[in-house]
Amino acid sequence: MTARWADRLYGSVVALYPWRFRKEYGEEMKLVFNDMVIDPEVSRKRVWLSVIRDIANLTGGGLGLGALFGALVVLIWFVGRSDIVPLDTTLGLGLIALLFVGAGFTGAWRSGTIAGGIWVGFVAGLVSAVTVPGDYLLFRNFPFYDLMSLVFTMATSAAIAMLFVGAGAALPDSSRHRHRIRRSIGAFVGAWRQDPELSP
Amino acid sequence: VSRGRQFAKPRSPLTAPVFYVLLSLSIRDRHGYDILKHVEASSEGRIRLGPGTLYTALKRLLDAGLISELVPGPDEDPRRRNYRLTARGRAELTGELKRMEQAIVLAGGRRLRARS
Repeated sequence: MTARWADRLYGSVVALYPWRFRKEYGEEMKLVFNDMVIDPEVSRKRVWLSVIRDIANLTGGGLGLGALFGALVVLIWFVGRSDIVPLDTTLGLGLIALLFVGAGFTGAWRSGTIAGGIWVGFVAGLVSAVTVPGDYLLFRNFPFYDLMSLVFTMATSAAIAMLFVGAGAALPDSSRHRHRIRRSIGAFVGAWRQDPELSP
Repeated sequence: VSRGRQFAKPRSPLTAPVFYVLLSLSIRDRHGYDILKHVEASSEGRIRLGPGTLYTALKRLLDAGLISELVPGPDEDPRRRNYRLTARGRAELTGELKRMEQAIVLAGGRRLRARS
């Protein structure tokens, strides 16, 4: 692989980092990576191993945490389905929603970024998708007409879950986000008031 | 412990990469790749940082006020920033070295020293 291709590939690795971090250190990280690639004392294998280690560090904590929240969602789902403990459907779904809020909150609090919270929630969502084949294998339940209805239901559930994750991820820094939302609404309303073409 | 609060607790042990980054900056001001190379050399290859891990550690140290960023000179690449150990960083490093010395003395007293 040429140095140019290696730089391009590393550019996409840098894109995985939170936006603010990338803005501040992205160029310097690419420069250091380029120094490693052109350094005759450093083998290509060592360069890519260090990048893999970086990715593992970036996602490692989030993966474990996301898997834990996902496993708890699966547990609640199957406890409710198997009638081991009488669990009202609304209560069960409420607990699952709370777990997604918790996943987003914990991820954002640990990483200091909303992206960190979204990542933990995303992993939790992936793990909790086990409930679909699990429900079929354990309870012979497959409440979908065809593949399209399965995809539609999964996409809708994922979107709803990510809403809860997003709300949780915004909580650690809620005052700043509230200020941002208020500012955006203010700007939007201001644009409506000032621009006669936008006015209803 | 959240990343932002990692250094909030005084006298808490430093992680190995952070310790070696502070150690490399205690000798002289360095830029990113220089730190990376020095950390690997001084740890005899045990600590190999990637660019992401290095800058995550540098950001935490900057946020905690243990290091500072230097403005690049007119003939320097503006993308290649140099970093300097602050007085607080030096105190933190000295504290860590004292802790290590105490641990070695304790291990020596209990005949736990590794056999060479």
